[in-house]
Amino acid sequence: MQLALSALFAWLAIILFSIVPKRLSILDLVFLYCVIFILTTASYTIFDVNLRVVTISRAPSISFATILTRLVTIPVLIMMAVDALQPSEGRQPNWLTAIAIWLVLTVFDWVLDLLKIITYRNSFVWHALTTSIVYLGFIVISWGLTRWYRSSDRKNVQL
Amino acid sequence: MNEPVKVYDTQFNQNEWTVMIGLCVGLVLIYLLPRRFSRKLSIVFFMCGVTCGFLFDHVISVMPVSFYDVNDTSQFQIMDFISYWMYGPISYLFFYVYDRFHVKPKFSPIYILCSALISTCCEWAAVKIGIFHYDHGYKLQVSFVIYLLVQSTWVRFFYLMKRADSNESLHDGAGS
Repeated sequence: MQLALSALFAWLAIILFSIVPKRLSILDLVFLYCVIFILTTASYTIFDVNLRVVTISRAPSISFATILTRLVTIPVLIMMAVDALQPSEGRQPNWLTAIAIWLVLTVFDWVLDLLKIITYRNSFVWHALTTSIVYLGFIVISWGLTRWYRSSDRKNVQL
Repeated sequence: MNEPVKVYDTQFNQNEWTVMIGLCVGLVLIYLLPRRFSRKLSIVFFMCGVTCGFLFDHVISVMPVSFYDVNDTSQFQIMDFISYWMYGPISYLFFYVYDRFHVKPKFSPIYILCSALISTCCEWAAVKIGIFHYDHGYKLQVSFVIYLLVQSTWVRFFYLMKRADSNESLHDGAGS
């Protein structure tokens, strides 16, 4: 059941991402995905393997559910938040969308605990607070790196 | 249930030195090579390798069972984080050589095979040095298959990104 629900969440995230008008180019989005994926994967491993603040079941179906969540749902949602924060062609950053996605991410983490995909080791309040701070950190860091990436020069050298 | 921590080594020795020197040599090589791509495209080609490293070492190899550990312990350490950046120069050089020699699509499988063989040899050396520690029946031949698959997707990725970069350049040119 967890795997089916996880696949559904991932697909809903993809549908939402496809529908929403994007401010970033394809190259910007690929770079952004790489940054978010590295940030989130390294952090989750530290939380799971080093600090052990969450427990992830090693049962095959739950493992695949976790892989789907880590590969698709969370990076795509963060990409949408960062995309909304980018100023583009006279449009101002859309703070409301970014804050809404940040809150959805925090609630989504709690849903993962409800579905037993991950298990919280500490109190709910502690996890809600740390999760919201961590996701805010992901959004801020990837926003900053995307700003830097977009300002990179665009000189092509052909040999 | 968390698995107990495995410790393979506690010293700063050959595996750490190999990672540091390998990364430095890779970065210097990228810096010295004549530029072939826009800066944005070069960064994407570099990040592609790092992301694939994280993807396989932290997501696919870890669950449901950990097929291999990286460096001194089964925990995530700063040296592990640095070692994944070694994949950046590797992917960049893969795309660079592919573009430099204008490999035609029909010859891509030969290029991928050569590259996968070189990657497998590098991994064999990394295992001997103590960067990778296989577990649960994992073998080098599995890595060879993974290299073939990953580098095949890299070739497709190369054409997609080149086209995206050209479109972006055209768009920027039209806008200025």
